[in-house]
Amino acid sequence: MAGRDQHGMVQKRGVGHWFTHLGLIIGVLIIFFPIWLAFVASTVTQPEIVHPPMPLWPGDQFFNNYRDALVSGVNAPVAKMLLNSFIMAMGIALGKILISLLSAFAIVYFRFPGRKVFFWLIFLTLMLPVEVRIVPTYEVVAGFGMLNSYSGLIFPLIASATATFLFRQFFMTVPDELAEAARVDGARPMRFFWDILLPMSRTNIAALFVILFIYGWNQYLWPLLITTDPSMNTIVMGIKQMFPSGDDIADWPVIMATSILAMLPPIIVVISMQKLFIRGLVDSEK
Amino acid sequence: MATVKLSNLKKSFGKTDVIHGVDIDISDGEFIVIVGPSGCGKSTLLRMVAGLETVTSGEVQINGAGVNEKEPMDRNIAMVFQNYALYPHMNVFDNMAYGLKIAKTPKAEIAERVQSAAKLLQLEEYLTRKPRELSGGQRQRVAMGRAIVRKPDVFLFDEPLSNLDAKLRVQMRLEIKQLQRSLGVTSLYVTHDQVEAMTLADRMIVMNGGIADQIGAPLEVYANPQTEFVAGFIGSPATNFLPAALVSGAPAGTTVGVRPEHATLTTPDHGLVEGQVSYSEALGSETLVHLRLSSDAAFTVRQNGMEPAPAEGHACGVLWNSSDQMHFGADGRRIATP
Repeated sequence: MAGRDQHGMVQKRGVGHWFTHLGLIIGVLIIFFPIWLAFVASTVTQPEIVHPPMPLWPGDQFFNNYRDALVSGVNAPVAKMLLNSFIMAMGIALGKILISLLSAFAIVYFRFPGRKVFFWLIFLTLMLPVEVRIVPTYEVVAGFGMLNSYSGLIFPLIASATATFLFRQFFMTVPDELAEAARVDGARPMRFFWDILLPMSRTNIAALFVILFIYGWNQYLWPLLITTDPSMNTIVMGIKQMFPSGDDIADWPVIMATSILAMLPPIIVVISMQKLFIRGLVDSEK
Repeated sequence: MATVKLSNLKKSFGKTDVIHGVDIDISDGEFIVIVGPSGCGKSTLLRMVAGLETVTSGEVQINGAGVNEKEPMDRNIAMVFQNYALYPHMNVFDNMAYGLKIAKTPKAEIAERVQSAAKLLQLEEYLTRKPRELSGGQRQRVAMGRAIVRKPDVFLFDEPLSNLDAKLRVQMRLEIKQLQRSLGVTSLYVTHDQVEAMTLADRMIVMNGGIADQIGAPLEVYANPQTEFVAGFIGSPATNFLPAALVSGAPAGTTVGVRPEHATLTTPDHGLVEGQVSYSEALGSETLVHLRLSSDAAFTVRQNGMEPAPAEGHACGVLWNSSDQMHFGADGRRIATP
């Protein structure tokens, strides 16, 4: 009896598993289909795309299209745009992490006049995303002559209240005795920061790096505003720039190849840092 | 090797006075235990010696030189913290070597010093482990090792055993004592546990509300408590206190203190005070008999475990030698018995 009951339960669970999997597979297919179409479109010729029905299986133009995209592109070579995006995303991610680590360190470990005020000022900027302050920011960046430059792309986006807040919360969970032990051991504040606090925050840093890299990579409005020179275009805005205006003909295979290429770096970052990323979000290693 | 001197040491946080002036001369190699209930300022006192807390007034001297304005690292002290405060991302070796690395000690010497400390503390096989892979007792040893390798003038212990279980605590207590003896380093040790204080100290400071109520050798403090607080805090079970009116011959207006081990039970009407047994705790080697006196005060008598314990509700008298009787004035100070 007991054995049969167990058997029944296993079977029932088995059926449940099948349904769960079926649901997941359908979901993945629905999400993945547009990406598949983009990939297919990047491997065929222009006439094949514009004549319905659209092909569903890759063609033989893969190397041609990707070579065209990377080397010449439409306005600027995609290789150059990828490089621009990469520099911007890395600059934003690393810059944000460095600045927020240091400001969180200052807020948590030092007593200085106006400490609370500064913290709330930083916190307040959470309410001011790029879009809200975009006109004055543009004015400032233009005034410094930073249009069409990497510094113009990076610096206005480099301060991060979110990251500062996150590191502040993390630093506050680090026992005070650790800082005191380091003081007795003879570590001056920056030494403590580099030797102890930074290694302890590495999973948080990794998690934040992934989020911020993608945030930087996906920036659209800001690069669109301040880069007029095609050689400074980033890839996300560059795709839009490739769209034809007026009667021009869109070079769809190249545009689609560019789209696929634009997706790769964030995917690589996420996959390569997945382990650390999850640990950073879940673990609280003390 | 060092002497430590605290002169009228005071500390206030804002307007709250936490330490009201502590004086003590600690000679080279002495083991001083600072004991008191939580909130009495014992940790603050230790942290002032360490340099983790600023001094409001008075002076801390190490080897005759004032160190009030010196950073912890320049005082040549080492501290063992309650939660060990080991660096979680460093292995045992690096934890112990960190202070030496900062001091730019040559690598070979660091390795040698860490090795010898590890040997002393039986940590040799754990040198490559991270703190989270160690048991509580081992972490405690690493924290001690970190203090030893620096060859400090003074060891400071801030309740180092309070996170260990009872058995380990007894064992580590012994190890700390032996270690301190063999190294001969002047030590200050903070605890709220009077057993630790009694067993470890050469001299102890009993703190009460920011005041050093009594400073002296453990047995001296036990035998001759200078205040009512010390009499109640040192010794377990605690001293019995009775109003003078209850005890014939006691100076009027004083409080009479009698230690449970000095009192014996006797038949009713033959004791100095009378009462009823409310309950008794048999601990094997000893039995604690709790009485409710006729005046409704509580009284505890400690008797040998071999003696028969009286039943609950049993009426009896309590006797003690008048020489064991202590008198305390209204201010809590001891009054010399005439």
